[in-house]
Amino acid sequence: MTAENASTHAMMVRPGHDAREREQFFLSLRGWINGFAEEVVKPRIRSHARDADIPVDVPAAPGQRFEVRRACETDPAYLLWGSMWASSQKLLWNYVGQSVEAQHEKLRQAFRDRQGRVGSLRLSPEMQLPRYLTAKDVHAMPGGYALDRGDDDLRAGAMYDRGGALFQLQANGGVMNDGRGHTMVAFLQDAFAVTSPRRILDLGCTVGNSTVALAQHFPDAEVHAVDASPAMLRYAHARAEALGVPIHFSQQNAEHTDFEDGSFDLVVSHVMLHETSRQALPRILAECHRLLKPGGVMAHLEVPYRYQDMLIDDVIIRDWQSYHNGEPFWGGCCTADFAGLLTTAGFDDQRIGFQPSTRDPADPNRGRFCSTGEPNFRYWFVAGGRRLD
Amino acid sequence: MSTDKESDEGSGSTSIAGQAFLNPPELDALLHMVLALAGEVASLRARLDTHERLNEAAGGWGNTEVDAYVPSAEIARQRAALTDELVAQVTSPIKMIFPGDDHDR
Ligand SMILES: C[S@@+](CC[C@H](N)C(=O)[O-])C[C@H]1O[C@@H](n2cnc3c(N)ncnc32)[C@H](O)[C@@H]1O
Repeated sequence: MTAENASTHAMMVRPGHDAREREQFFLSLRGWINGFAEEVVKPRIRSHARDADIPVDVPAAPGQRFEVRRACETDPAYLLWGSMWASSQKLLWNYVGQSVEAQHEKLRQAFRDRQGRVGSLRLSPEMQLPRYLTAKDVHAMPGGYALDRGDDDLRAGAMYDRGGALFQLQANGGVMNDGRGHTMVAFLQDAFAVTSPRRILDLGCTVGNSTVALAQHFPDAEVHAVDASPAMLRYAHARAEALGVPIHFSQQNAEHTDFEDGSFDLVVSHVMLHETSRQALPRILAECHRLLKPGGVMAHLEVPYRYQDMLIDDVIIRDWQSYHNGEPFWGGCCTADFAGLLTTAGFDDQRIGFQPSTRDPADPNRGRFCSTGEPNFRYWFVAGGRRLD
Repeated sequence: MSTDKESDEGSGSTSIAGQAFLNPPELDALLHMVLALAGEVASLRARLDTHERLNEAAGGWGNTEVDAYVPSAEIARQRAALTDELVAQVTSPIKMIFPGDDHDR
């Protein structure tokens, strides 16, 4: 069974009756909370902005968000919304965690049974995770990316995969969680006419959900994927093996990998950069440059929020992630000057803009790469360039 | 709440779960308890619904019969006693703060 026609895969935890209903409750609750943000919180944010003479009908300067946020911090509706969002996030991991705990033994067995059949896994137990991955529990997932109880622990991966599929149920390709990978392929086709890369690297692959989509589109390529988190990689490996997709996973820091200079035709990442730091971002871009052959393409896909193009009420709602969901660089990434960063890193032929979400890059009717987009999951922000020398 | 400056490399504790929004912060905990309870109620209700539907599919009573059911006087009394006990348990912390009778004596 290929992932193309599969509605799920063997490693995805299957919630029992009650767990499934709890997940449904989470979705309903999150729907209500999002509605509350639109109907109640946003008008109040606008009124705080107006009080400070900050524009509300056209994008404000991104730096003005700090002043509006300060006013929001004493707004009871904003605080109540924040409390409920954080609380629902706790419930999500609690629900998913119960399913994972119940099925962990089975997952671990599947990992051990299938190891290295079509792809490979290389862990580096002595490796230190970057501080930005351990300082907070990213996504408020208990233990974050660092969660590893040893003895082939796969919990973090299993939780992330189920939680991610649930969290963005329709926005990222359902249970396969592969919408970002397909959208990346569309970007590579539209903006760089990439057709047959020989060696591909996916940075910050987590459970390999996007990597699998990439590998399926370029079946002749040798596909590598790195992440810092061991439990994610064990799960990613087992997941790719279960799908029969050959991927070579290794535990490495994307800022300095051990691959040789000029050894890849294509280096990509999907929603990784916003979980790094202001210091790490240029280092990662420089590493991409080092790894690419001349003529090779680097492409990063990110959340579709460019603060300079958004209205202040939406910015404040989105920027909440920077403070309360373990993603402190979120706002920094949503305001980063990618053109400048790519130039500094030595990339030419830059394409920076929005790629409409797609599950099928071969669909002639899918949307095309465009310099503008919308701040919602019908789009992803993309930034890429070519190493010319 | 954290400060208004750009937080970048996160300062503060690892625990996101313990952060405070409401004042007093115990309200966050209380709100969470209510939401968590609602989640259990939703899943329990779905489980009852599953029972009714499975039973009906197997040729037994279902939703309609359950809705039409009226307990006998004796069964209603037994249920009321259970409900009284539940109310007493749920309100017991209030009784601990305001024991009532003791003060009359
Ligand atoms: C949101 S996840 C990416 C998800 C996945 N690429 C997708 O498309 O769904 C971010 C991942 O980046 C990884 N990461 C962040 N910084 C890293 C670094 N410097 N080196 C390796 N991995 C890193 C984290 O461990 C995490 O698994």
